[in-house]
Amino acid sequence: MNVHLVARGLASLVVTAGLGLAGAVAVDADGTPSPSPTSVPTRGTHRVITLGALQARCDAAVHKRLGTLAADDTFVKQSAALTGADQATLEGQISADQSGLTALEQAINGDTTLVQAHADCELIVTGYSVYLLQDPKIHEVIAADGIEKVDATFNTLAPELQTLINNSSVSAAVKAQAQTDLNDLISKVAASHTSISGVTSSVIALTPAGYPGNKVDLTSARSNIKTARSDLSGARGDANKIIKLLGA
Amino acid sequence: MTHPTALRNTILCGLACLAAAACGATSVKDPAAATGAGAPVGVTAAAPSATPDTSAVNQSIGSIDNQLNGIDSQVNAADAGLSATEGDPAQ
Repeated sequence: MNVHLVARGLASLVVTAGLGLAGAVAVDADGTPSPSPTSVPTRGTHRVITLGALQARCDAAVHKRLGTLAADDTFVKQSAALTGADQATLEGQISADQSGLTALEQAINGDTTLVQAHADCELIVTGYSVYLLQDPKIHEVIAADGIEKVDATFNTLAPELQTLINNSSVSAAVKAQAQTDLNDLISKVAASHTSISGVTSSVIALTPAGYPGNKVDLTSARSNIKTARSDLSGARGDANKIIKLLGA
Repeated sequence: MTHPTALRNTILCGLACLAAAACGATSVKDPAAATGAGAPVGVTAAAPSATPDTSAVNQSIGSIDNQLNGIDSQVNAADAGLSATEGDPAQ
């Protein structure tokens, strides 16, 4: 076999591994990932990476993701918005990711060849997709459950406002305006409820195996959450108007 | 002629009646009467207040504001995640 060709092949593999991980590390490093990391070397640049250096980068990538998952776990545990069932599901997913990534890190550190280490390092992204899928999914579920909770609170508020209107001594015209605002509030809360229905169930079970095909579910959920949130802003504005009108 | 004992009894009875009437009048001022519970027949309900009690409303609105703030942080975090990249080791 031609020794020169073998050397070129090895160099190519080394550069490929370096490119892939540089991309991963670029995300990890600054915390404000850019779609086109500027630190990724060009393909024409031959950069040699040793097995030890590759393993160190992979370790860092795993630890960064474990840190994100730990922060997410705190959000999930402390969230007053999540339903009990969703909280349990997310905690289970986070825990599984933490165990899996920890085991993967051990596997990478035990790899004895660049080929093995490269394949295992790829799994940090393809097997877990912490930044692309899991983290946004967790935040979307908390937000969606939060919207449903606010809807419920508005449903408590509406009859309270109705009582204020009924008992108020303001003029009939002002009372009528307040009633119109209350009707609008109720309608906006109903619209919010419609927008958010099914959002949690559409994303909570998404897995890295389905990525990037399931990214559309994440973006659609985000859109529905924003629509529902906007309706709630309108409803909140209506409540303010009613209180002002009644001089309460 | 009226017997002195009968006269004394009449006076005592009159005093007792006055005392009982006074008790009845006082009981109307009892706080329980102000709530409408056991209000005497014929007493009209309180007129609508010009400054209604908004404590329940304020509590609900405060809770809504807190929850909306929490939602906003989660939406921002989801936005950041959806515009992120993890690199592509396969390339």
